[in-house]
Amino acid sequence: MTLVALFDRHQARLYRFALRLSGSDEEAEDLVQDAFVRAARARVPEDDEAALRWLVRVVENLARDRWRRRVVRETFARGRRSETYDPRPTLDAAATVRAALASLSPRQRAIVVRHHLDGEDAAAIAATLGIAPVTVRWHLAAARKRLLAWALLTIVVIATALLVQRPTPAPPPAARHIQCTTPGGTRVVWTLDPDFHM
Amino acid sequence: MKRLLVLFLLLPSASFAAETTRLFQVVLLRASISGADELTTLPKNAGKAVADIRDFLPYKSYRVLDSGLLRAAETTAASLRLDQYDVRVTFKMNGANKLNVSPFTLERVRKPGTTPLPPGVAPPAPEKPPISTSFSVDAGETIVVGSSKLGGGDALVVLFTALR
Repeated sequence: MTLVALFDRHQARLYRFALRLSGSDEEAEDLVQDAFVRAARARVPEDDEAALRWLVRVVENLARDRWRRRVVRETFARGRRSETYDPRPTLDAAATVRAALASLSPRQRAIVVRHHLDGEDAAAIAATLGIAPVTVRWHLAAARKRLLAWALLTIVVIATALLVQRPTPAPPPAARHIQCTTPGGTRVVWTLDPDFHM
Repeated sequence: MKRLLVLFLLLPSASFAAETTRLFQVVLLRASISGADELTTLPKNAGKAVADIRDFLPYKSYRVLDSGLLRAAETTAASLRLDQYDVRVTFKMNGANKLNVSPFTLERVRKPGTTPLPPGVAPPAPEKPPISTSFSVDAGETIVVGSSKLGGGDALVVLFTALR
């Protein structure tokens, strides 16, 4: 199948998947574009279903790489921002759902989105991702636990915010240590220190 | 830029022959949010690490400050002095390939004061090391060890390679 035919056939479905993974129209378009750029360079399976599975995996991997980069960049940018809690966003149900989904790992998010929002069963998700159905079910169970914990935490935080009249001052920021791996495989050991100077 | 290639071996003389030693490469970089790269003196084996962190970390340019080689022995504190900084590393080796580096400290060299302190004035407190951390490293692997101010600004980066 030519790249053009592949694009015409799967672009819309991939876009919907990428949009649910990323939550951003712009990022979803980028993910799909990048996936097809990879498809142009790689050997995509001839079979139509296999090609779709391959593209879905690429989108998921690209989303995971972006998520990792974003985690590092956001940690860098957080700086001395006040830790004072603002309960307004959590009162917005949609924001809560988005935030809860964002707290999941990219793979778990992908599985939850496809199972609960797209209505796919574990076997279909497993076939697309190339993993065992039992692994999909395990991810779903782990994600449900995490989402439940997130919901309970949200309730506790809102209740605390309503009960506490005056927020306690934020403690001075402490040094943060990050250990992560770049998409290229290089390990990074980083310290963000409020007292650091060159 | 002054480039030093210093081979230091801080070993108790009696245990010199018995202990396993390993060679490490240390490259000191300054990462900036502006400016252009100055990587002409970057060792070739450190190039991949710089390429990998370029998209990953929020810095625009990297400048090599200095680099050096360091031979160290198991459980022995080794020290490598670079152009502007003093790097002190303590190793604790587990197995043949996996090394635990703990603690890894990079601290500044204090230049001796030219004027003596007036009577009754206490000497300044020792400066906090810009980098003090720990990690593990495999033979042949390059670890990017860095430190920056919380909230932004330039960063000090060490590319630490356990040579095979």
